Amino acid sequence: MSKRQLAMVMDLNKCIGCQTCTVACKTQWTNRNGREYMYWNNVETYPGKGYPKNWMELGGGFDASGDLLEGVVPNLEADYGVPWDYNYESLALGETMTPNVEPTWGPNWDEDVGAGAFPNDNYFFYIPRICNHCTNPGCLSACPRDAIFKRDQDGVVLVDLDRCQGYRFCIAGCPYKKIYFNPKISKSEKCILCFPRIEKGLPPACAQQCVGRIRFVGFLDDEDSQVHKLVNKYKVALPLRSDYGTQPNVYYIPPTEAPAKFDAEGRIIEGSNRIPAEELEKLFGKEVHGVVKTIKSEIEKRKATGKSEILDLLIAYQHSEMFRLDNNYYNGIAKSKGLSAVAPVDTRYVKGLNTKTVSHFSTHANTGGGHH
Amino acid sequence: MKRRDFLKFSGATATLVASQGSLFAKTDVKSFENGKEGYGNTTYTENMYRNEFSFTYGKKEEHGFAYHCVNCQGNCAWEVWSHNGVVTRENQSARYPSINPLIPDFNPRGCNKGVQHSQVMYEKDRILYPMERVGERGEGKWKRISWDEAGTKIAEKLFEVLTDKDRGPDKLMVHAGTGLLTEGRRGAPLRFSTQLGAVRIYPSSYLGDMFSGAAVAYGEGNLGCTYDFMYSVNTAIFWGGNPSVSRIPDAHFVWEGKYNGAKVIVITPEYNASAKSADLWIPIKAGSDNILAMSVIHTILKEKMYKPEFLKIYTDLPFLVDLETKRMIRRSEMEHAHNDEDHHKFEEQFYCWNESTGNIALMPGTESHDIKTLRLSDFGIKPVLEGEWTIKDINGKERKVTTAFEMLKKNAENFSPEATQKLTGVHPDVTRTLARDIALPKVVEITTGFSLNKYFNGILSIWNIASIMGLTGRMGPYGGLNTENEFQLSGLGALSGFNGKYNPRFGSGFVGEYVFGDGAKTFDKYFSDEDVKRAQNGMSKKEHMEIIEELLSQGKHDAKNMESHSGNMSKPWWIPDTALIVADSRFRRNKGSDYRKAFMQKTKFFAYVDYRMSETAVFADILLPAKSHYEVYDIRSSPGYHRFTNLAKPIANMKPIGEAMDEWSMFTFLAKKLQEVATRPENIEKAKIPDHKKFAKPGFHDLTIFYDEFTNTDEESESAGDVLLGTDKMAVEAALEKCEQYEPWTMEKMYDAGGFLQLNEKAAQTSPLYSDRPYNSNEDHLYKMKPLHTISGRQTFYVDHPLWIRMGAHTNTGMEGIRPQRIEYPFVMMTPHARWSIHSNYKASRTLQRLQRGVPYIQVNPIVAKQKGIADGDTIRIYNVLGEFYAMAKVSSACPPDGVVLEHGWEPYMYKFNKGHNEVVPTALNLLEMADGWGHLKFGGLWDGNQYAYDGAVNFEKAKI
Repeated sequence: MSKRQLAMVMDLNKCIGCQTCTVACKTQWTNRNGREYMYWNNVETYPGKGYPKNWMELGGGFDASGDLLEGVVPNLEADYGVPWDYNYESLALGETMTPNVEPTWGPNWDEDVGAGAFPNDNYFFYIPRICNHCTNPGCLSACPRDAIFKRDQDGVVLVDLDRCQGYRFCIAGCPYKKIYFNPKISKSEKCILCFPRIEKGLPPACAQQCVGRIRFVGFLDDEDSQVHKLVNKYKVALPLRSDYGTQPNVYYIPPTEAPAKFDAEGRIIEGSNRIPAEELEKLFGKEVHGVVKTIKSEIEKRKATGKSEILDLLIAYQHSEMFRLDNNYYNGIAKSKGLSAVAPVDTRYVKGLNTKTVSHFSTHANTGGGHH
Repeated sequence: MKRRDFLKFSGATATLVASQGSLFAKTDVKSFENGKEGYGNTTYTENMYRNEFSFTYGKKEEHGFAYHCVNCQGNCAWEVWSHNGVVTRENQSARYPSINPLIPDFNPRGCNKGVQHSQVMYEKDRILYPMERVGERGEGKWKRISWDEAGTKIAEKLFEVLTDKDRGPDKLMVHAGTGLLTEGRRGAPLRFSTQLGAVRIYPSSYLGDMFSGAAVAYGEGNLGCTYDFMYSVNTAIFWGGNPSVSRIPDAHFVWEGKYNGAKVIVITPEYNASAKSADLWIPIKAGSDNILAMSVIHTILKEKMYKPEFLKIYTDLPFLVDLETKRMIRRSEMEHAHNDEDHHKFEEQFYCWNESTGNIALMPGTESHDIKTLRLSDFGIKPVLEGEWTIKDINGKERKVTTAFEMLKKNAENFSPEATQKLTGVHPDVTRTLARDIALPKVVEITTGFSLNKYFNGILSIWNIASIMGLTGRMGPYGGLNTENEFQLSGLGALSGFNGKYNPRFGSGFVGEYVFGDGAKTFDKYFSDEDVKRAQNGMSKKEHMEIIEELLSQGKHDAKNMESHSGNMSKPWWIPDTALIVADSRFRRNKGSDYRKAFMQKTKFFAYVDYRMSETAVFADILLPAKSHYEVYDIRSSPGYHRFTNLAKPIANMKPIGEAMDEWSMFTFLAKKLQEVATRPENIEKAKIPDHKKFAKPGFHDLTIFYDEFTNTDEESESAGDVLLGTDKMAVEAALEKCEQYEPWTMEKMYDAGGFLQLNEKAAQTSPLYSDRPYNSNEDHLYKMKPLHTISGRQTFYVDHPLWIRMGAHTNTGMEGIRPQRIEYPFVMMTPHARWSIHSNYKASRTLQRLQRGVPYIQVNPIVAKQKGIADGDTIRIYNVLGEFYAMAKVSSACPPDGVVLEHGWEPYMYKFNKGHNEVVPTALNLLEMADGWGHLKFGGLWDGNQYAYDGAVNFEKAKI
């Protein structure tokens, strides 16, 4: 076990499926060097096949007795989708803009497709996915080289690129299919939870840049952090497919909000929910029913009294308060390794268990930034 | 289980792995027992990623700031990261201050398009150098030329058209499209255009984004709230709108508002990203919004949910109307004026029935009344809302009169929820629920989506929705209509204007494009007599076309408006033959297949400015390379979704991209070239271009001092102390100096704050801009009893323009669309604003296309697809009598069975055979929007009209190609 665990909570009620997170991640890490086809962060429409295609059926993870399960390595053309390119240089020549590979699948192929009968009970919602930085990672257990590790300081799961030999057992072992093979360097790569950003005081790109403001980042043992409160105190955030046995550290507020269904004549069916409860249970386990109840009753309570601490958290009045990155903690670790502490490039997100007061800069939410 | 068994590959990968077996040899043997704890080889990997991050982040002090000045109206502050003069990526600044700790802040404003401009700006479709066409138009044969050559050629063409006695300014268009919406850079082409007397047209009109229905109601089309207002409403309705897709930076306020207790209602034909989280989604039949709104009005009237005391003061509903002529009773009919001026004023003054006196009373507060308040109690006026009376007019003639309110009740009578169910597809119970959710709570905001204007009778949709808000007394803190708020910005005319010396030659947007593109031909070919009758209150197609022709003839070259002594009377248009156009993909957006052909035929010379190869750029005669959003200095506040003004400042030591120039430097350069050409000995005699005084106060444009005037270095400007102009940076400095709402900010302070400034309280328009509360329009009307800028000074429910009476629209009514209802073409094609592009901007992005389907795709309903033997991913042919195009079918449960949904903005060159989706979209002019010269409905930025986009009925089949 790592000493501490950094975690993320994503609120699926607030996710608008805009994929700003996906693109922010892409420009930060995966637009180059053999990573082009990878989406360390993707957002998929549920119900749908997801990304990579049918990932939930591709195995990996652990059985009830803790043994690794068989898994499949997805195929680039069929399951991930080839990152096609275009003849941009020919547009001036009056040519048709054409993909160089016929697109047959991609990371957002099922966007907004959903299921059900229009308009009475069709539905969909979005699930953004990054690496879950599991406490019991399937990828790590599957690696014959033991070249995957969890960082002691924050539990971030990384592939040791020095030692990885590109066997790809990790891909089969990860039930979320969130670890990828880089054909250019012949090694596996995956979401690194933007640890280099975090160490310098910036939240992960997908989280800081999320315009729906659905993502909270902090340490689970930091009782002032939103992730602690939502996961441990109020227990309204649940891991995705915890039945895979990997103990994920990304948690979700399940989608409780959807419009009522219509009957055959087009009347509203009061109190109905388009999202089938059994689908939610499949994704988030039996606990989801209690969470749906809690969120619904908090919304009612808020309507009646104007108060609800859970909703205060989810509303997130100040964007900067969604992240607690504990900068002193990281600097302490740097020092213990004989490295010099580095002042954060941004001072707005640095608070945490070991960073209560910061002497040499202000932590006021609105004063970060400029050198000028 | 053995690991070898455990590993399986799907499909082709298996072969790949087998063939690469030799790569798997171990090179270095180290062993770690437990990677979960105390792993001994972390540094190699960590340092690699740390270095990669350092590279993209670069040096903080070298970062730039920017926003994307395209027509999304998002206007978000971004920090631009760089390395060694090259942009690496962008990250939201996210530093907007919170105005109130109990209201969510505006961070981290941005979206999926803005977040990847760094990738697009170095793409191979950049226009890098000035280019001249050497083959046929659109053939793709170009020659690179120098800026000097390009500038001289363009200047000679401009000089030629302006000095030709038969052509002149009427034949020149200098126009900036919506790829450049900003207060800084956009000023350059506008200034150039105005100084020359060149034609330009209203973008919101030709885009179908003009809120004409709101203009009718409020005398102002742009009104509503800053988006944080959504957080504290009781009901938030998105009518024809989808904020989670097309208001991405602000959508969080809606869903946070829902957590805070708001009921969110989405009214759209398709199920979408906003509907999915709403409390109530109403699947309305496409285009029947104005009819559903009438049923809401019907319900509010029947269930007496309106606010009578509000109506008496703040609306024209108590105004007296002649039962026979349906015209409002005017003071000029009741009283002789002493002079012409008074007579004219009396024409626009009106009466109510006064309960206090049992007689008629002249209403104060109307536009031509000397008393500018609605405080009726000061005048002993207690208006009556209901009744019929007989009055005697100036000629002693007895007139039976009633109130506008009675007329509204009469019009609403036919629109019971039961009566409209078939047309709207909405169950009467749902309609009544909607009416109650609007009428009963304390604060209700209805946001009208831009799709509403894109139906033929969209003007009625927005007007009717505005009227719902009027009936329920919604203004200021109680909510109201939200189209798109704009703040007040003064002084920016210093950039684009000349203190009235020259005035822009504005043409109508929707009419301009209709005439330019031979729209009448398309209209005649496509719509039947029955279609026109259904959508124009029974008027025949023949008569409709005759009236349109007459109205168009009045607008030719602004003729009727120039003669008028009481403001504009018609929609002006010109057909230029020489065009200098900036950032406007007009061959993408115009409807029908004939537009481009007609444009090419009529346009002798066409120079185009942009940073990328749009469909329009492909057909230009000369191309000029512009800088894009991260390479310039710029400033933008508009619109009023928030109270911040963003700064664009390039990264440090920016490496130039080709020979791109910012628009101010470019147009200053062109001005210099034009002055050079004009002062050539053989030209100097003809270099004073005569023009109507409306556009050039001196009666001419003097090209011999064109550059001097453009940069304010001419004698007159220098003695007036006008700001110096010439580069993008100078423009930003001038804007900061001239605009009082920007005080006391400077560029340096904006940079330090994180790339923005906060507007001061002078930005308030019709409500105060409180320091700690969201903004919503019309509080001054409600509390200070200030009149609106309408003919009545009040919210307008009654328009007695003869054409409106003819259309049965003297007060709110509902009318079906003009879309043909033939069995051969049973599907409506909806082309809403896109999640993946801002119109055509960013549509071609590789990064974004990979998150779509790589080629144009169109949603079809699963049941319909099955009937037609179409599977997801199939190429289908969408067609009607106008034309056809091909797209990939996306079989989606979110698509209604009677429609197909295609996010708009695709350039024709992205489709098979370069045939864009507008091939199947007709064009039409609506008489309600063509009507002009009445009260506040006079042609201008407020009152133009809309180019419609949703009136095409189509069919589709599996493609045989």
